[in-house]
Amino acid sequence: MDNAVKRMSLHDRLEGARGLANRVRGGTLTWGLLVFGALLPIGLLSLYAYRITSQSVRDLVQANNVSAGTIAAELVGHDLEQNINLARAIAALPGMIEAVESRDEEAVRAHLRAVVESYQLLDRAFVTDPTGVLWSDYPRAPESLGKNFSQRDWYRGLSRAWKPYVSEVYQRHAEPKPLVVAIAVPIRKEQRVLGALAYQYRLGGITEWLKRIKVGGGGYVFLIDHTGTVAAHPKLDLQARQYKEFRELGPIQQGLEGQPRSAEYFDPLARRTMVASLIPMAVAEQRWVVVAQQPSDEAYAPIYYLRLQLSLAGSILALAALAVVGLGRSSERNRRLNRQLEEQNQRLQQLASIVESSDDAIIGKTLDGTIRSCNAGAERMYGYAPGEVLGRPTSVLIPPNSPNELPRLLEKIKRGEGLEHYETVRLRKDGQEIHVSLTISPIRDAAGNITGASSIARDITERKRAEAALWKTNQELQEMRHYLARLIESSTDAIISTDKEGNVVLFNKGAEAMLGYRREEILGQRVTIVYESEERAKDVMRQMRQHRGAVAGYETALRTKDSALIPVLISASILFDVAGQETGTVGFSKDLRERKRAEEELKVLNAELEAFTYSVSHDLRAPLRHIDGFSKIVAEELGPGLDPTARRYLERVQEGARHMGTLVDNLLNLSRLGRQPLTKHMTNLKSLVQEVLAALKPETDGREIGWQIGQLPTVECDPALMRQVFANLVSNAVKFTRSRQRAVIQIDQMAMDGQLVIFVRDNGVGFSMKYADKLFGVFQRLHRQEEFEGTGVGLATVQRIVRKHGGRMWAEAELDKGATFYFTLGVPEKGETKNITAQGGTA
Amino acid sequence: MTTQEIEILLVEDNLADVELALHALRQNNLANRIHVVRDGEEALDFLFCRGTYKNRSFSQPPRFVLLDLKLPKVDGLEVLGQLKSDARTKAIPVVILTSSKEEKDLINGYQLGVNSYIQKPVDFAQFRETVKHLGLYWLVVNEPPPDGALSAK
Repeated sequence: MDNAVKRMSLHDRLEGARGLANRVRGGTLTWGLLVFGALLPIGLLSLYAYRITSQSVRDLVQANNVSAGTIAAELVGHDLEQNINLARAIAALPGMIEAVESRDEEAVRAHLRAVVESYQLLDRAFVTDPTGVLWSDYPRAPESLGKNFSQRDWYRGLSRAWKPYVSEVYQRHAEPKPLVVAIAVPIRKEQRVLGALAYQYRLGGITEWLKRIKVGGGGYVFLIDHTGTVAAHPKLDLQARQYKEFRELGPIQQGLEGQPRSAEYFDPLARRTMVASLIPMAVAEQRWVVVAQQPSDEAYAPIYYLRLQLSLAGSILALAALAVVGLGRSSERNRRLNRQLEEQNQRLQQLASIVESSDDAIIGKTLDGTIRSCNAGAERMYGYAPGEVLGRPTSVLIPPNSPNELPRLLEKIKRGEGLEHYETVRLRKDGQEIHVSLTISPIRDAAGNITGASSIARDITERKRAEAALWKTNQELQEMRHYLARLIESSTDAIISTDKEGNVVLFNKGAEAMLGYRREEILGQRVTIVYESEERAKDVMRQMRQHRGAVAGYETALRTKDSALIPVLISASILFDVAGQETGTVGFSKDLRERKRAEEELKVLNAELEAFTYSVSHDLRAPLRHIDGFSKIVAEELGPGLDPTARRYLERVQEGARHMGTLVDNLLNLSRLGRQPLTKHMTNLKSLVQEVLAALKPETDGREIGWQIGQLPTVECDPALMRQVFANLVSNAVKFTRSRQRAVIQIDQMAMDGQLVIFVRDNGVGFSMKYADKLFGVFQRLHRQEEFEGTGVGLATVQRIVRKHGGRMWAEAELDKGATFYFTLGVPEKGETKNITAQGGTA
Repeated sequence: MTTQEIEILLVEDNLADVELALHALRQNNLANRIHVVRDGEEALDFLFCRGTYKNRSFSQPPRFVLLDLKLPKVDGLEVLGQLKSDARTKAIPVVILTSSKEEKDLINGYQLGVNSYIQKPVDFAQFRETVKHLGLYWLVVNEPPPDGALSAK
């Protein structure tokens, strides 16, 4: 683009236009004097006057167009530059670079989302790899994922030198098909290009304020992109179609080649001849053109009118008649011309009012930094009353604690250099600091000397805030990612994640160790290769879909790199993004080899135990029978001849054998308990207790026992085993109250912590609580055999039965006062319930 | 002995058990027509009249068989199974007399068609009572099938 045109500041342009207006006013005066002063060479003078006037009007129209076009070019350029800077800033975030490098789609999308949601005119953002294949976007467009965009203008433009690029305008696919440009920047790490970031910027905003710029009667300003397509136009419905007609016009083509110029041409869309000024402008590396045009018949109306008047006046003067009439007419013409000039001046005022109404702060200052002019936007932005800041040094706008950049900036201006989109901090009158983007240009006087500088400042505090927020989100995201990464890596389970297509995207250390793949060789492969079979992989997926996206405890086998199968327990879920779109799966596989080995071992041990107890029941009992049998035969057959001691010894032998027999039976019973499942029925405990008491009759006969049997409930239990519990506890109570004149035995229920508790209480010899922990151990006895017979297996058996029912057992006692044995059955206090499920295997 | 009708076949490998059983039977005058075999194979030979017992006849079956379960060569349940699945022998009453009270032995025994299952008590007095009752029941109280009824089928 032509730098001279671009650098010429808005003020310059306005000043230039005013100067021209003055020159025109002066020209008219000359003309008036000539008409009034020299009537004789009327024809000559008329021609001369006409030429001067028409040239002046043309100059004025042109100046008008140039001013409007230049303002528009400045503003459009500034706006697009801001957007390019935004894209650059995002592409340079360390988190973004890292996410792109590791192809972390989710993190990249989080960035894109933050940008799109912060800026109203950004519709869509996406990232492609260096070859133009799209792999992350926001909002998500599944049909675009994986699509190659290398043929698109934005990619070709960007990839030419990997410099920021603004594409030709195009219509979005999505309704209402707004006109957009793609703004594309490279994502780099050091010098390496990792990919492209692009977003779609809606041009509707530019169109809106082009509408506010009026150029003379019926004139307007519009924008043409580097391909000659209309990018913004106040009169055309740009959502209807794309307008490429202008690219055929010679003046437009020259404008696109960088030559600022004025021209008259036939506008194919307005279908009128237009007088226009074309202002080329740089958009990234491309050249766009701003066109300010007015219909030539309207713009040149004063000339046509003058031509008509002059030919009339010429014929009248040639008759040498009424000089006075001619004078009067000419003075009237003069007034009319002056009115035309006044109108042109008003148009200039209009332009000034656009400057005035701009939200940007526009300030003019002298070379020593004194503020000479400013618009309302400047006063608003910096918080000053109208006119208050005029005459003050620019330094009042610079925060005291920031390095004073002003001398350096003024030096540049003095050298005739400008400054574009320089981001810095400025100070409001109330002390608040704001971020601004500055464009500064020198102001020259008519002789080309630099007399001051104009600056346009845009408040970018919001953008900076959004960037800071983005930065913070980015940091938090990074921390979370590192935390999760550590978590995943430290697991010994195999953690494998896939994308939507079932390709492995995550493979942790645990998975490497279990399956023998290195992650570089498995990433990107189909996850099915680590499954036992394709069918199994499908089944896991099916199960997830059927169970709300997750499956837990799925038992299968995984295949290692060398094709061995490893039994595993898989818990897996489908992953969704915030929008509820499926993004892939993650699965945790627990190695079951150790457990399987333990199970096998247990199976072997159980079989051995089975064989052992079977053998015990057969073979251990036989010799006991023999000892008992033969000693009895001896005692019987030699009975009368034996001396009492010998006979007593024989009895001891028999007793020993019988006791051993009981021990073996009880032990077998105990071991059988562990292996048999419970057979539960609703059982009335009271009648069960009655049966037990009846069976104990031989032992209780002749004893004085006060039985206190409470209201025992009906509960779900294994009746045969429960009978053993009561038989043991009650016969213990009977046994240990033997020394009491009157025994009292209570069998009753109570509630404790909402649980039903059954207890058997006696007033017998009791025991010391310090041995309470030995009570339930096998072969543990607290009394001597000759005091109270027993095998020490009974309570162990009772406890095992209680535990098998899901209950617990304990005892309270006091030496010589009695003992109470309590147990629960895992049943709530209101005994009658059927909601108890079988609880086998806890013993 | 072979000429005489055998009333009880005792299948028992343990010599001490044999002696105790004989002692108990003798006291009840039941020992005179008892035949003892020491393993499962010999029991099958006897019952199916083959091998050393080939001169025996199916028409003269024992009145009942006292069968231990843990036996050398062929175990008790196998002997029972063969006996009860053959038409010529299945009517012979079989009483399992064993040390085991394992549930699975009981179930298997009854499924194969045993007529009675008795665990040998450790107490010899009880054992003697049991044997006495057994002998009296199967030889005196119980009515056997008519002569030749089995071999005819």
